Amino acid sequence: MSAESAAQAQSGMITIEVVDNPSFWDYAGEYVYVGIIVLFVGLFLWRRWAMRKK
Amino acid sequence: MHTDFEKRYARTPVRRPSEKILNGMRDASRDLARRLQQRPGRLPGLSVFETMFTTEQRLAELRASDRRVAGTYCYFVPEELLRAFDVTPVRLCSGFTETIAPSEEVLPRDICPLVKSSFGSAVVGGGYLDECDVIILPTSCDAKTKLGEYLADYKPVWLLNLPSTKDYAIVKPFWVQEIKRLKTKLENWTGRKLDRKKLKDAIGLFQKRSKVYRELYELRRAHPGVISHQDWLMAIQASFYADVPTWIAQAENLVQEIRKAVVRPVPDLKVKLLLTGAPVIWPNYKILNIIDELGAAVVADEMCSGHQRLWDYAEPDEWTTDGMLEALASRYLFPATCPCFTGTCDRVDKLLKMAEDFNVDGVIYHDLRLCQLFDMERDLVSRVLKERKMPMLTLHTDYGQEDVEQLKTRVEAFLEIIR
Amino acid sequence: MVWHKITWSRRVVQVLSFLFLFYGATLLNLKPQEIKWYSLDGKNQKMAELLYANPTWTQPFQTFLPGRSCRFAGTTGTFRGCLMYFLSDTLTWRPPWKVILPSLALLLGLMVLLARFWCGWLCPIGFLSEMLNEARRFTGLARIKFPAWWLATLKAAGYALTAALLFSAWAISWSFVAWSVKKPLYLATCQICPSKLITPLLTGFPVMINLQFPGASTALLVTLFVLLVMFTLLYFSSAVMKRSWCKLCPGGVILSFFNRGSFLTKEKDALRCTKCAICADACPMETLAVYEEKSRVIVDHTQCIQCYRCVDLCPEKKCLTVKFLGLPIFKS
Repeated sequence: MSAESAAQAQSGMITIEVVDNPSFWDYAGEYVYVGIIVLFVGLFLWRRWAMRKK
Repeated sequence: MHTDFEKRYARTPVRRPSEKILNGMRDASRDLARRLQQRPGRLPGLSVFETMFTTEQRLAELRASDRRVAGTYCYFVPEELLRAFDVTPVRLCSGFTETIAPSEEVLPRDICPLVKSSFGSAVVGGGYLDECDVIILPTSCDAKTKLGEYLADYKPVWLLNLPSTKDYAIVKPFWVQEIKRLKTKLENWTGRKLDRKKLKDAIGLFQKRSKVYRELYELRRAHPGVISHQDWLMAIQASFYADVPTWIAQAENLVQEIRKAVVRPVPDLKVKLLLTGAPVIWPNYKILNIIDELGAAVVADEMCSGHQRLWDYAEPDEWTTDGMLEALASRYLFPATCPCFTGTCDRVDKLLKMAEDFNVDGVIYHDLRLCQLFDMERDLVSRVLKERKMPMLTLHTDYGQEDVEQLKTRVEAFLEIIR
Repeated sequence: MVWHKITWSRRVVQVLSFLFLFYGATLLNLKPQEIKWYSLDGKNQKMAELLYANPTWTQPFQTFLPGRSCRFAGTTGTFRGCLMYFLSDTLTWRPPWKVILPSLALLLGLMVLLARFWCGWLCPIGFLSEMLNEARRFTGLARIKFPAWWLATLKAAGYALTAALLFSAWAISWSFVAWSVKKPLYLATCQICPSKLITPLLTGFPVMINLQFPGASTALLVTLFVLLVMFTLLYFSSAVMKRSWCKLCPGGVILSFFNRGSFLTKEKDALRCTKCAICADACPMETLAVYEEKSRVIVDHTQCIQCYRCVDLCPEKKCLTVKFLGLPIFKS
């Protein structure tokens, strides 16, 4: 843990640790989030397209 | 009092008081009233509206009271504002054929009968116009605009400068100014400032009036046969003269009566028609009577002397004096489907909506002779209706009784097509 | 007089939202460390650390909302900040995607869900500006109407301001940009926002307007300060002009892109409309779109803050309908 992170931990904050040699599952959380974002953007664009003439 | 007409060249007002004509008018009212009374199953609550025309009770009331009276024409005079100044509004648009002949002494012959008849009541006198302290006249059509000049010989006339489009961004600020000018005139006349509370009460009262009317409308929509259209128009046109709270009470009573009446099934109407076009005003219910006689029925109308008058209400976004005046400006301009504005679409929309609401079989287009505006709007209306497979009949007529037989033949042929 | 159902329910929601966003931490006794909400790191089961630069103070919910959940609500506030704060800060620091993804997903979701419903119903700053207007109504003073060209100018200025703020936030991360420019432009969005003055006033959070950052360009500092003064004046003019600041607000500009296409739609039955112009009179954003639309069914437009005042006042039954995913929730 770096000095900065230690200071943050003292102030009540928790840092995310950096993983060496990451596997697919180390990034699973991010894939989920990216998926959610793509979903939202897709949903928005689809609705926009669907109501283009209404 | 400030008037809108200068008097460089004064014209002596022509006055032809005639008991014969007044009696003729009374007879016309009474004849029509009798005709309406004969209708089987007529609701008793309607007779109070009828007395407005058959008796001169209200006229005597106005004569006796010390309240100021303002005569109005058309759709566009903000009556709430008048009421806030304790001024009683009386709508002077006339439907009497008797006063047309005396008016022709002054007016040219080729003017629409409504304007001639209205002006004639000034010439003959003895009616509501005599009781008015001021006349407020919107410059809706050419004839009305010029009518002001003629009426100015008899009474002080204030013009409301009506725009000819309904483009909100352009017209609203102008029309608000016009309403505020009217407010200033009223302030100068009555000698007191506009009271916010009073205006609020007046707007509230008129909102109530149109709520009651909407209730009546919904009831009629569900049971079109419960009341004849002559009675319907008569009830609406009683509000031309009636005190507003009294009218509301009477209309509420009518609502109750209709509620009771429709418990039993109302006989279904064979042919339902929608009336549109130039105003049909008491006692000129000629075309309604003809349609009635031929076994069809008008179930709804879209006229400034009918549905339009009571349907809309002012809804201020904020109840400040300015906010209320703005709301009044909107209410007395934008919902109007008067042909004096360019753009017939609003009227076509309203017609289609009403045709759908009442599930009508046809549309009657009442075209007063010499009203170019309604005449010119007819083309688009008929085209749109034709597209929607809705038959339409134009009745080109005036206030006289000469063409009754001819109209009858035309309506009969039209009803044949529908059936 | 008619009981305006939608307006009243909106007021209730606005008060609750205002209390929650500005005083939530105090009122509900929330403590930052105890809250583990959607900004979780899925793998480590830990709070995602979002204070990448200066973790001196914090709010319970370590994330952002599209409305003005202003960061200057300080320790009494509930959220970290608004949409513009997030975008600006993210563009400046460009932290790893892992860190910003949760917030980005949440913001996008909320925007697609509600769009400018945030402005009309949930934004505490918008609510306060409406309260200023209510105060004026109470006195009976007349409202001043924005002329059309001024409305158009505010709209265009809103787009320009948003673009400029986002661009400056990105530009100050470039290494070759001088420190004298970087320093004053850091979080320029907050430095010109009237909320920076109003929120601390209400919540007691200490904020300084510093005109003398060491080494900062005075010209830029003064420019930002002048803008702050102008926008604050614009904000307070909402006492006499409806929702004046909202017509320019950069957060609103970003939300406005989502108005058409969000889950909330406002539909108009053109045949039922009598063109009585009550909707045009009532609109707090003073737009004519709902009034003038006569062919399309969906009458959402970018300026609409979804307050549904028009739906509330419309005198024609079922003429205007608000639908959430096709489900009608409000009808005129």
